[in-house]
This record gives sequence, C-alpha cells and structure tokens, in this order.
Amino acid sequence: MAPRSFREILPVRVRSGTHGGVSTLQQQAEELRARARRLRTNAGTLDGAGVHILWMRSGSDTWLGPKADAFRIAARRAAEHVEGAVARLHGAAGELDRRAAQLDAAAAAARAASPAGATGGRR
Amino acid sequence: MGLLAYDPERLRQLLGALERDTDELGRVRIADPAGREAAQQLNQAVRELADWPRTIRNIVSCTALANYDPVTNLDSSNLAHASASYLRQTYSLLAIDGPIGLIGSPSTDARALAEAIAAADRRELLSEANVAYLASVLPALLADPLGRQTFLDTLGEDGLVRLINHIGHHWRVTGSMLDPSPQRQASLEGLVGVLGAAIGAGTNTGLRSDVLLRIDDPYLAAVALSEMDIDPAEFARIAYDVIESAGPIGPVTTYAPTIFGYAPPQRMPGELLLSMIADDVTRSVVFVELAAGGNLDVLLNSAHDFAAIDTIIRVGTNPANVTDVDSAFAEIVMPILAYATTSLEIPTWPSTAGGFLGGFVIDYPHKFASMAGEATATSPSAGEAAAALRFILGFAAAEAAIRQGAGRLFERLSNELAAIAPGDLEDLMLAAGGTMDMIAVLYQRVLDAITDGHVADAESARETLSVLLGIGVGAGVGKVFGRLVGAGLAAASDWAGPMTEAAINGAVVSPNISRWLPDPADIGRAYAGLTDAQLTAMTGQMLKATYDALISVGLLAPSAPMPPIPPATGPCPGSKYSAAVDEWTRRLAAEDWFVGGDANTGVAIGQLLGSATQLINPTSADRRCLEATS
Repeated sequence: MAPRSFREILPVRVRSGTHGGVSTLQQQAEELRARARRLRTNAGTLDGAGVHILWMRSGSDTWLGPKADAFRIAARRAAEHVEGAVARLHGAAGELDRRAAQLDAAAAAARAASPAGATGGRR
Repeated sequence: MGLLAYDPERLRQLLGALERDTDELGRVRIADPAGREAAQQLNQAVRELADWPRTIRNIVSCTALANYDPVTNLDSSNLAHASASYLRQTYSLLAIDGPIGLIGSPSTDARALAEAIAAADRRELLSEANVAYLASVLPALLADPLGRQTFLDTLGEDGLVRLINHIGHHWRVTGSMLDPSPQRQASLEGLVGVLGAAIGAGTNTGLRSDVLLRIDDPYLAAVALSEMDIDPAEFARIAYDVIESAGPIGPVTTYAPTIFGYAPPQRMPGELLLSMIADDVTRSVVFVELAAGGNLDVLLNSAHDFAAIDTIIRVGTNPANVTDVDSAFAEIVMPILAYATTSLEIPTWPSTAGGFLGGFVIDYPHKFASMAGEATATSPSAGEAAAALRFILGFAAAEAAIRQGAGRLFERLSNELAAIAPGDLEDLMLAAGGTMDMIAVLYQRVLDAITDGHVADAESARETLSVLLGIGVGAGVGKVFGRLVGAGLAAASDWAGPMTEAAINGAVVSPNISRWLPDPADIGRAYAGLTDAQLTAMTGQMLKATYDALISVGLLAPSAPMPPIPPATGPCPGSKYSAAVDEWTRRLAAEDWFVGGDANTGVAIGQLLGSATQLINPTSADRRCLEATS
C-alpha cells in the first residue's frame, strides 16, 4: 500500500487552546467515524459482488478454446482486483477510526486542562 | 485449423452474469480520498471485464468472429472434427471451425483426441490432413504433463500399439518404391518419436517396454525409444530387446535390385540405437552385460556402425566401469572373444573395426597373459587362447589399439607395483617378476603370430612387440629397480643382471625404449638415502651385469675389456668412477668391441649405459660427495 498523507486521513485542522476546541475535536472524530463507516459499506458491497465467482461460470462445460481461457484469466484478475480494493477499504477505514480515537483522547485532555474541568490536580 | 466449442445456453447465462457483475461494480462509488487506492483497483477490475460482454455477445449471436465458420456437419474422418464431436457428445458443446489452436484444457483436448483416434476408421486415420493435424497439436499436447497422461491413459497400451503400428504400415509404404514420399515418411517417423517421448515421460513405466516390444517394425520401436529420456540402464535393457527382436543385420547394406527397381535396405534398430548406447557409460556397461550373457549378435551383428560397437565394448569392459574384474573377464570378455573368433570372419569387418579386441589385451593383461600362456594341466585351453591372440592381431585396428593403449597399460602396471608397501620387498619382486612374465608371454604370442603370418602387417606387429617389451622393461624393471635400490643395495644387486639383460633385449628391439625407462627424477628420489660409495659400488655391479648381458646377446665380443672396478676407498668415489667408465666406453667404441646390431642397437646400448651410470653422474655424485664431507 502506498504511504498516505496525513491530510488524506485528517483533512480538518485541529484547533486547540480554547474551551470551544473540545467540541470541535469531538465533531471531527465523529466525521472520521462516519467516513470509516461509508468505506466499510463500500467494502461490504464489493465483498458480496458476483465478480468473485464469475470465472466459475466459465468452465469447460460452458465453452472451450483460447477465448474461453482468456476470459477465465480476465475474470480471475478482476476478482483479485476487487479483493484488493476491499482490503484497502478496510485498511483505510481502520486508519480513520484510529485517528478518531486520537481526537477523542485530545478532546478529553483539553477538557481536563480547561479551568472548568480543573477541579482537582493543580492549584 | 482448430475448433472453438461452447454451450449456447450456458454461454448466454455467463453473459448475463458478466453484465450484472460489471454493472454492479460500476455502481460502487468511492468518493472518500482515503479510498483512492481502492477506487483505482476497482477501476482496474472494471477495465478487465469491459470488452468481454461484447465478445461473448458476438459469439452467442454468432455474428461476429467472422473468421470462424460454424461446423454444421462434423466429419468423423477428420481427427480435429472427431475430437470436437467427442466434446459435443460429452459436454453438449457446439463447434466452430477457425484459425485457433487446441480446443480447451490439455487434459480435455488429450481425452478428446485419444478418443477420436481410438474410434477413427483405420483407412482415414492417417490421411494427409490428420497427419498434419497430429503433427501440429501432438507435441504441445503431450509436452503438458496432464495432457500427456490423459492421452496415454485414454489410449492405453493396446491403443498406443495399434496407433504406432498403423503409422508403421504407412511409414513402410511411403518408404517403398510403390509410393515413395520421404517427406511424409519423415513426418510419420516424427509422430512415432513424439509418442515415444510421451510414453517415456509417462508415469506408467511398464508401458515403455510393453508398447515398444509390440511394435511390428523394430526400427520404429527404436525411433520411439530414441526419444525417451529415461534411466540409462532401462534404456539399455529395452534397446537390447528391441535390437534382438530385429535379428542379425543382413549383408545387404545398399539398394537391392527387385522387379520394381532398387529397394532401399531395411532399416535396423541397431543402426540407430548403438550410437546412442555408446554415448553413455551406464548404457554401454548394461548393454554389454546383457549381450555377453545372452545374444552377442545383438551387440556384434546388429549394425554396421563399427565405431559404436567398438566404443560400447571398450567402455562396457573397461575395468574402471565394471563391478568385478574377474567376473567381467570370465562372463563378458571371454564370451565376446569366443564369439569373435568363431563368428567373425576378418574380411567381413573393415580394417578400422576390431580395436576393442586389442583393448582387451591392454585392459586385462594378467588375465590375458595367463590365458595365453603355455598349455598346462590346469590350463588346457592355452592353445585356443594363443589362437585367439593371433586372431586379434589379425585386425590392424586391434594391434593399433595395443600400441595406443601402451601408455595406459604401463601406467596400470606401474601403479600396481607402486601400490605394494615399501617394506614388502618379496611381494614387490614377485609382482615385478609376474609383470615381466606376463609381458614375456604376450611378447612370445605376438612373435608367434608374426612368424605364422597371422598378422595384418608384420612391420607394424614388430613395433607392437617393441612396445610390449618397452612396457615390460619400464614397468617391471625400471620402476621396481629404483625402489629396490632405495630399499636395499644387496637386493638390487641380485636383480641387476637379469634386469639388465631384459632391458637390453627390449632396447635392441625398441629404439624408443627410453620412453619406458624410469624418470631420472624418480631415480634421484629413490637413491636419496644412499651414500656416494654405495651408489658407486652399485653402478659397478650394474655395469658388470650389462657387460655380461651384452656378450650374452651377442652384441659385445666375449674378449672385450671388462668395465672398471669401483674404487673401494677414498673420498668422492662417484666422480672418479664416472671418469673411468667414460674412458672404458670410449675404448669399447674406438676398438670396435661392439659387434652385430645396427644403428638402433648402438643408440639403445648408449641409453642403457647412460641409464646405469645415472647413479654416479658427475653433477649429483659431486653434490653428494660435498654433502658427505662438509
């Protein structure tokens, strides 16, 4: 898999240092999770596609000859590409989820550091 | 030409599924930038399938692929059509004739083709079109392991035999005067070769000999075998059976007159296979064993390829290649020799043939010499053996082989003697004596053959004699002598006389005797432990022995001056004695004490005396003397 840029995974700039930033972080985390869900939906659709068994319909009981052989090869390759796409979609969704978890952690930290949230710890 | 076959209904179903699946893929939208790579892969999948709906639609509607003609009436006499017919019956497939290769997977094609062949009308099986079709598809089909095995299994032993015999029938016709067609004959022979290669590579190893030995024409069986890449021992065994099945080769080797004109000679399997056997050591060894224990016609009378026969026997009887030398001599060499002496008439073999017979003498010198010795109660067949040797010498090639193998024999004898432990003087002398005796027997037999006129070329045989003597002197005397001297002066002195006499005999006959005399470096090493005085005394004894021997053989007048006596005392005796010996030899020459002989004799005597005085040559004697006195 090619290295992906941080901008692809997290296009929203994190603002911090204000009390209002906590909710922004939470929103961004939610957006990332939503994107991950959509990617997983795509993966699910592709995973169940008929292309995976297309080559099986092209056996010697259907047709024989060089064209038939070439089609079987093409159908297998197409299925392999789709399998690769599914794997990449799951991988990308996982990345987004991990980034969302990091934003959650950042928001929690921001809350703890804010005056309203500083009830114990420091004087 | 080839065929495309399909089931229209199933192909229509495939088209529908393909269209649904490509449509399904096309509807998937991956807009998220994080899914960019996945989207690229999806696009590749769509592209892979993009052109296929149109292609399959065209086939189903049978309007495109204009080069293809639907086969509406499959011709059962055409193997390609018959294969398609089998597919249609088996898979309900339609066939389309077109410019494509094989129909389906190798195993499907192989099954279909084998079934078509099995069911084919014999009159049509090898039509021009079918031979062309087989020549175009069989090599590739049978090169595939699955295709090959399916083909062999489907046809089975009987089917393969029928097919090859049918090919053989056409092969003979095309080779006859009635319908000569060298090109077609070559094509048919090629088919047999392809089938042979497949049978050889098949998993059923029993099929190889089972099929080949049922082929009507042994030459075609040889063609099939020649393409089999199999274990060399198995190759030799099958080759033996195939060649034997053909019988001895006839005297006709050229075109024979008939009422139709001149008929080509029958092609014999030995002509093809013997050279292949000769190319491999294991094949040669196994083949010679089989022939010697069975039918020697298979080896010696199955081809006119004398070079191959010669190589096979030489390699197959080479002591280095056999497991047991004694049994190889008794069970292989002797039968071959017996066959040769009773069955081969010299005029039927060209002068270049029979070299292997000389090779026997070189490879089995002890056996041969003891066999060819004088007849005794324990060796009543010595006379026959001597006759065998005379027979051998009747072949110029055999005699040449003895001369050419002299170096090998010399090396073998020297190694045998060198292998005796340094301390076992008695064993060494016995072995050396045995070597000398052996050479003497061979020498005598060669001499007999010359005297009796049983040699092809008397002049050449005399050279053989000289070579034999040279070997005897060099191996039996020269090498051993050095070791005896190194081991003990007294023992060497005892041997000096007889050895010198033998050496003189050899030298007189062979002006090239020096080829076989010990290397001066060897002598130097052998004498390294002796003092100058010891070596000087030794030289004196050798010169006296040489003097006596020269008189004994009539090369020196009995009243000639005696060699000088080595100085008994004083420093550096070697140098002094060397000067005295030089003076003595000059006197012998100046006063004409040498009698008889010729220029060669003179050279030989000079070499002998020089060899004897190597022990005290001025340079080494001075060095030893200096070392001893420093």
